[in-house]
Amino acid sequence: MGVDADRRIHGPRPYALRVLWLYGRMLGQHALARLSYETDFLLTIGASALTQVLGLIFLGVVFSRIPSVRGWTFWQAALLYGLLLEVRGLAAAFGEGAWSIGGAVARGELDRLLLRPLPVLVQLYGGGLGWSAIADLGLGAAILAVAGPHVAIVWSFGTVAALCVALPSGAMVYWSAMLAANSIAFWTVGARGTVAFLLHGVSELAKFPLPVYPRLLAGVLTWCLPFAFLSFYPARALVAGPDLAVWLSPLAGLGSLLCAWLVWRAGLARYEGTGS
Amino acid sequence: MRAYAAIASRQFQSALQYRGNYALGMLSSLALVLAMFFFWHAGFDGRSAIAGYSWAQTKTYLLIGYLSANLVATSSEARMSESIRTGNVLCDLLLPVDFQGARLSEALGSVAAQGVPALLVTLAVAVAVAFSGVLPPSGIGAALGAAVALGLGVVLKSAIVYASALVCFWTTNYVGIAWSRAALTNLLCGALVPLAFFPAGVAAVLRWLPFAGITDTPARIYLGQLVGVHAFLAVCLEAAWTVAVLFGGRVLWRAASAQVTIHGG
Repeated sequence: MGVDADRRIHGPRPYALRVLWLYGRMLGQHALARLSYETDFLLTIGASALTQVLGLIFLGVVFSRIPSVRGWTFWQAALLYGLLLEVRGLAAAFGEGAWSIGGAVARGELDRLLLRPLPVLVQLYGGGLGWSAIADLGLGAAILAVAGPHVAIVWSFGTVAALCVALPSGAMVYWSAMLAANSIAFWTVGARGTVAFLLHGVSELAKFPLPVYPRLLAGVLTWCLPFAFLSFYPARALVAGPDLAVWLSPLAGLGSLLCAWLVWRAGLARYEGTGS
Repeated sequence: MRAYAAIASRQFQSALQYRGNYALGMLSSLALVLAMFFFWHAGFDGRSAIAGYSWAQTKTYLLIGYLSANLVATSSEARMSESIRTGNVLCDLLLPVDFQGARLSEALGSVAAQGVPALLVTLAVAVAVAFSGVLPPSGIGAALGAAVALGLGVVLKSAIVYASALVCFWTTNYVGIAWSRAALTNLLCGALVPLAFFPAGVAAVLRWLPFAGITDTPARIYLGQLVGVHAFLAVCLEAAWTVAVLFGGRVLWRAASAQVTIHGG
């Protein structure tokens, strides 16, 4: 009895560790629940795989007509696409909770979460994993494995380090964008998820190399909605060697995170429940 | 018939109520079209034609693709999924109206609310880029034929969306279903790449599939690439597919509705 039982029930002592532990427990419970619906699970992964394979076919068709666009060949573009799948997959795997914000606000379910002694965001994100990311991550890896040998990648310590920095940063950008966009639900209860769909649509621009776009749009994708960090800057680092932009990607990631956090906080401060 | 008209008008009003959502939805598909636009613009750099299409023709084709994509309400997956998940689908099942008919009426009601602004936006975009050369229809006959094909395409795509939305009876993940359905139709109908850009054999096969009727057929009639008997036959094929997909939806529905388990309370 005593300390041991206390640990088993409430988790480890330091608060931060306990939050992490609870997050892990919630995800574990969610996984058990989700995996018991096999058809649903397989359909989710199958649908995502189909979407990405179609995206790849599209690239193939496009490049069968044009050998290169603004200096980017098919294999380089495929590499970029593979990186996008990895980065977005990573963010989507742990970002599923963002999509439940709208419903939780509209139905007043946030009341319940607010009363529990655990940060609301941890509860929301602990409520689900983005299973479709399995397909994205797997397919992305396959594309990278196939495209890699066709592209003269400049392998060096710098390239590896740049990737280690850039990929998590890119994931942070997308993850933050989805949190911020879904937090709009605090202001417009009716428009559940619509802004998030819009931002996801904009992130589709990251399927093509940045030089394809006019300078203004390229600037927006670097400075305002930094989706260029999802795929283009890491891909360019692989193709042409690391440059300043890829080293600055943590700034984009952390900046996005900060903005999303502020939007979320401002939204939560407005939350009034649904009455009755 | 009156019941279906009432359902359509109810959906029309609901769509007007949430017009902000629809505007945002249109913007998000505009993002993809913009990406395509700039991509092809870069691709045409230093080329006068790709697969027999000039830049002006490609631009026009993509604009028609955007129009055809937005004439159809694709929110039925979300609505059906929600009502299946919450069990509200029972209310739909109890109504003395045909389930598919009711959903199609909803879709057409949304088209009226959503399609008109989409048409206006497309026209505005067309006017805005007119000076950079979006092509007019190749003739009065072509304009009429394209309008007919486009209208038929709305019904066809609504039927496809309905059939894919039925998958929601087996999964709660309607977003994944909606996205893969959109990826499939958009690629195979020509909304992203003119079908002519596919390898010749593949393009020929794709033109026999139901999706071509949504964008490729109206666009080619508009551009004057399909004329006379060929245009007529293409529209007939489109009509045949519309009937076939509608029928397929009914068959699928029978299997799907057997999945419904309503928990009492």
